[in-house]
Amino acid sequence: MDHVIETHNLTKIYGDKYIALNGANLAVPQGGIFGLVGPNGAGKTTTIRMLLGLHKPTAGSVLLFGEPMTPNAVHLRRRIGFLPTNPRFPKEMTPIGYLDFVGKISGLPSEVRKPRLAMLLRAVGLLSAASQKVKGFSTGMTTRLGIAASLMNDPDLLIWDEPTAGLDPEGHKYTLDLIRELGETKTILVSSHNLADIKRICSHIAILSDGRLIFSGTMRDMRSLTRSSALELELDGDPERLRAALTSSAISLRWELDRQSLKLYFSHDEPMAVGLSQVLQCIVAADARLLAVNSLHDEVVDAFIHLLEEERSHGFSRILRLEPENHGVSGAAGS
Amino acid sequence: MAFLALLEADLKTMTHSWVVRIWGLLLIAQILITIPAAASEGTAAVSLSDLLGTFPLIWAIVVILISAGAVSSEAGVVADSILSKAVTRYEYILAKLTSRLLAVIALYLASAITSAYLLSRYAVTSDLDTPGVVYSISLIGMLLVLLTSLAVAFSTFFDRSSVAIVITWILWIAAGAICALFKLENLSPVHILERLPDALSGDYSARAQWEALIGFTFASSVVIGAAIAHYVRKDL
Repeated sequence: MDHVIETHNLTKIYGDKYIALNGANLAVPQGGIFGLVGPNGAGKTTTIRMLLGLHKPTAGSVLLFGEPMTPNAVHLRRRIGFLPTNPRFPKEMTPIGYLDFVGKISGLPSEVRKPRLAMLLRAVGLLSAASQKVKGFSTGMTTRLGIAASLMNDPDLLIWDEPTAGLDPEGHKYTLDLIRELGETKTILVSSHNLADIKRICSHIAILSDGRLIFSGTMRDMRSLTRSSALELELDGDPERLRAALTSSAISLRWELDRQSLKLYFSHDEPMAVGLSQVLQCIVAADARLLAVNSLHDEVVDAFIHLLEEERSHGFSRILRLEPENHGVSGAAGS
Repeated sequence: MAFLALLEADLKTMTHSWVVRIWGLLLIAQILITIPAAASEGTAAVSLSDLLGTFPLIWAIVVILISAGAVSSEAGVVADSILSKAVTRYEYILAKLTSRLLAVIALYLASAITSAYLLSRYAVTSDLDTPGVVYSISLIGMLLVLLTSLAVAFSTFFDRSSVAIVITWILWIAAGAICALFKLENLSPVHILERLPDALSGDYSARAQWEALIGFTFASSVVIGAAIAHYVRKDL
């Protein structure tokens, strides 16, 4: 089994009124952290609900661990830990009661269930609130309980939908660190509209826009889609001597010099290393000292925006593109 | 395992429910009023008939309140916190139905059996026939099973408990007319209540007994089957 999750032409139309997902072909490899990104309303939660068998696809299919997912596929859901966006729990239950309940419905015997729920409550920092009713919990506490519940059955696959939604900075960092840690031993599918989060933690990424999967691949593939790169060099030396050196050299890239800051703009037509080595030679020739090199562009964000703009600008021609796109998306229906 | 865990959790919810607790207290109060009244005048059969008659007439609304929110009251929570786990939808519905049935039938039987026993001992005229009492209590019990099943079924059809409550209540009020329309007199709540004093004294036919048993079992099974069939296909 190469992929933990596979969808084929997955489509969801709600009541003949709203197309939430359109022919998505998703393949999540085993191991690592897979990010599902898209603006609000792009179809991320719909996709996840179909992966879990909570929503029935209008067309297409979902395979989890190589088997079709259905509303009653308990043996598959036993291998999944799900964290919904802003999770809600039975209000009268306590964290201990709820995790015990989750353990019971997962078929865990008491001798496994009790130590595990204690360990998880400690791990998510809810030990002091373990006997309080869930109805008084803050967003952060509710999310942490959801995290504990998703780990209760020690799943092979974690599906976390917008896990950082509504969290304070501390909770946000805690959750991202936890995902990174868990990604070392489990396959994780994490959805978010926050690209910065996905960029920090994911090895693979898929982008949804208006119900269409417009990209699926590694983060490296994603970065390679940027049209240009820019660097800022912080320097110590005589700016005029450097300006003269740069002007007299044969470098073709665009540059801007402002006192001790040199900005370089690379196009993808020529190798970045060639242009950079020419600039470094000029710096040496001008007897300047290189203090720091900073990236001016966020390549992932650029690529994301580029893909969204490209998708939206296609308009009617989208339906005429019958060949698979060269963006890592294979054979999407109607693409 | 999942079914038992769901049943246990829902029974806990039932025991903590104020509707259930207050109903229990009202049933005790009802017995405390009925028995002394029957000790001074009237027959045991009529007194027990009046008491059993309150279940499909008055307490039906409590039964509907308890049952019609079984699934719909959890509509926003159930997918996230329960059905995304290792639980089938059959197990979920059946656990909900079983817990509501247990709560309703336990309170009903406790009230009916206690009343029957006390009336047979203290009523001015004790005209109760034991097989007739068993038959009558079973008949009203089956009526309550059908009502509970209907309410739980409607709670799967509608995401708002209030809608499920209103629809079940309207259907329950119309039950007599529906049974009359399909010539199912032995299943009609109105007919059953009219015949109750005679049945408690032992005047009932074996045919009516079998018709009621088969009719109520069939109707309850169809209702729950329809609810499960609907819920399995529902987007949560």
